[in-house]
Amino acid sequence: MRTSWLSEEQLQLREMLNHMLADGPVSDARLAELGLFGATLPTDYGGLGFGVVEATIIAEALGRAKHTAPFIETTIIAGGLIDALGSPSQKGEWLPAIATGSLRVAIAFAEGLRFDPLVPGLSARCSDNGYILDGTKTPVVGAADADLVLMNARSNSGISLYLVPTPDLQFSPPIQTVDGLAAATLTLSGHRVPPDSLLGADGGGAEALDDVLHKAMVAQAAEQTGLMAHLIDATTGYLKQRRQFGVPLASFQVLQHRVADMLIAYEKAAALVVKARFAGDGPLTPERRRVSLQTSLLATRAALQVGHDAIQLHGGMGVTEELSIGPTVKRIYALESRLGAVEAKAAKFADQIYAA
Amino acid sequence: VTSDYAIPLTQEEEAFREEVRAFIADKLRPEWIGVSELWSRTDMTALAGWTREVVAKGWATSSWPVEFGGKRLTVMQRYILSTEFGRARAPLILHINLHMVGPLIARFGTDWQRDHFLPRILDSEDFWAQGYSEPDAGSDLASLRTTAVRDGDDYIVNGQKIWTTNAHNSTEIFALVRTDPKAEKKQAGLSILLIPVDSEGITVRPIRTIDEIHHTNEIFFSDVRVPVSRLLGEENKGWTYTKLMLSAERESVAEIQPTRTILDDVLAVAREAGLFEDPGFRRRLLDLEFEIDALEMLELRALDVSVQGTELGYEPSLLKIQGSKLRQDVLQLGREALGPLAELMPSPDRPQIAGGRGENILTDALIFRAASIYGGTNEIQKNIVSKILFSLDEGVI
Repeated sequence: MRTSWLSEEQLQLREMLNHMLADGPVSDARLAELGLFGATLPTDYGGLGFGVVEATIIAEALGRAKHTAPFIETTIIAGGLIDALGSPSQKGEWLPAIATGSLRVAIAFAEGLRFDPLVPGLSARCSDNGYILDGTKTPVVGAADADLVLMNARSNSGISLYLVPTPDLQFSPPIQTVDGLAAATLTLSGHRVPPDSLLGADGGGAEALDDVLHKAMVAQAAEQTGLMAHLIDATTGYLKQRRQFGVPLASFQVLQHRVADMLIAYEKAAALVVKARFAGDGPLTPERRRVSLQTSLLATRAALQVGHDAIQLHGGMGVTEELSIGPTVKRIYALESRLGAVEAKAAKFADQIYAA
Repeated sequence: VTSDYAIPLTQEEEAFREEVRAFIADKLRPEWIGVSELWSRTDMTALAGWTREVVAKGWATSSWPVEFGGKRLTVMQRYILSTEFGRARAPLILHINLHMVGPLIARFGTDWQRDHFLPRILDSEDFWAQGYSEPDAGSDLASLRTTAVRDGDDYIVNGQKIWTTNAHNSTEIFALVRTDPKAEKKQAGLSILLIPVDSEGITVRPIRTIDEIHHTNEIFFSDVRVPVSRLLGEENKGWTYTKLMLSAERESVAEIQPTRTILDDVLAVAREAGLFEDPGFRRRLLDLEFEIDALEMLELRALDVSVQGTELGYEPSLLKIQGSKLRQDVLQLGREALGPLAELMPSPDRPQIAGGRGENILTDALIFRAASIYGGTNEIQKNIVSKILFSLDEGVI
């Protein structure tokens, strides 16, 4: 869908990114040079001070280029939480480093079969000098490359967030994720962390965490639309060029209609990303919750549909690693669960809003 | 921030919304509410009465050439109008009059045609029907066979039109007819005639539709004399005019607000049926709500593109496909919510559900199976979408 309601500067940002990423991913260092890892961080700490509009523009462009840079993890989630909860010294230490791309944060919210960040299984208790953590986090994606791990835990007073340097932690050997990243299992058994690893007040992390996760859902939906745009372009290109029975595949109506269905799914998701931009990044109102959820839900479903159709329409080549289709679908699979299953979130939401 | 709109309203837009609400409170008569808010319900008095009010306010003619038209409306104003009118269950605006034939006559009609027809359209005195489809010319409209042969100052029209909705309530019909059977391209030999429905030689025959309500008709032309003064614009330019007309207002084809209105009824029925207790039903309800929200935003974007003056591409087709699908899905859910009562056709003796809010669900569910057929079937729309998609050099934006 043609974009509207973007300012000149926002359109330029989009054009610049799409141009730069036209031939596929560039190095993370190159992204860092542009300041992208500081996009949504405050200017006082070396960030660009952008909001949800630019965040979605960036995430979409990364998706189009099939980039797996940890923009959402490091900038939106970790940067967002440090900004919201951190002490001046924590902010001063970490935010500028995130903005320059020199500090990476891995997110440790998943706990095996469970992803429920507001009800973590990891426990935290106060000790004389810091906190003691017990539990298991897995998968922690990007653990090996990260400088810090951000984890959520349940303390006596509520949800607490901790930022712990990776050298202090015990990880399993790396496990490859479906999108080619390195994950690991983090086991914490009576693990002691110093007081300054706590982000915000003890037990006071839930609200900011909830807010940031909704921002991440929107950014991820934007990335999913970028991935879909790539798949649709690749598929239409392939159907025009590939010939069977003496004619281009594009001349078969059954395939034309399949492509039309892919486009419809994509356009609905893209429209909701625009709606999410309007919903803004102010306080997490019921309206912003709803918009974030619906954007994430439709983008996730659409990405799966478009991904599966792209494979189908590429025939045997669709299931190989030789074309970009397979790896793009694998990225789509990874995103589907990385922030927790959106289908389950939707079921919970339906229970809440229709409760008599 | 107004949370019940897809995007926040500015102060001016809030003020406009207040103006619209005040207008509704002042002009929408109680007896007009809920009797013609979908095309499947036809109360001509309500349709004409309400349309007259909206025209007088200048809110129904924004697609007309400036010298005839009312106020120019912004995207958001149009969105606010359709939303507030829909929520109030106001009758529809006489669409064929105001959005199809009116602007066409205003733009291409002769002086006589403008002087004669336009005041009657603006005053809802005439009701127009459209004569396009024929038994053998549906999706392939240009192969139509109704002929108009020049004879002195008249054309003599012979042939048959079908799916002439509301012809039985109409005074005039604008018909696409073949004036040059020898034209090389079949599109080139067509003209538009403006024909009184009570002309001698016209027979209107009702078509029984599956909801058992009289909406639509076949119309037979047997040596019907139509004065040449009733030829719209130039002879053999009918196809061009038709395309122009059909491209106007194409961004509003999704008809979202009426679908929301139906969903409200379905919710009322579901609540009474205790279905909110059922997690599966809640889940499907949420999916539908989210799909409607997505469609609304899609339409808003198409409106914006269109008002900016950029030509619409596949957007209207997407809206048509998705809009008809959701209308049908909502009604299907409504039938399920009705449980054992879902099989009962309308009757004064049928048990009343949710204060009567379930009463149209079955008949609407039946007739709106046509939503994915009329105005270009969804299959034709998909042909259009893929054709445009395959022609994009730079891919999807």
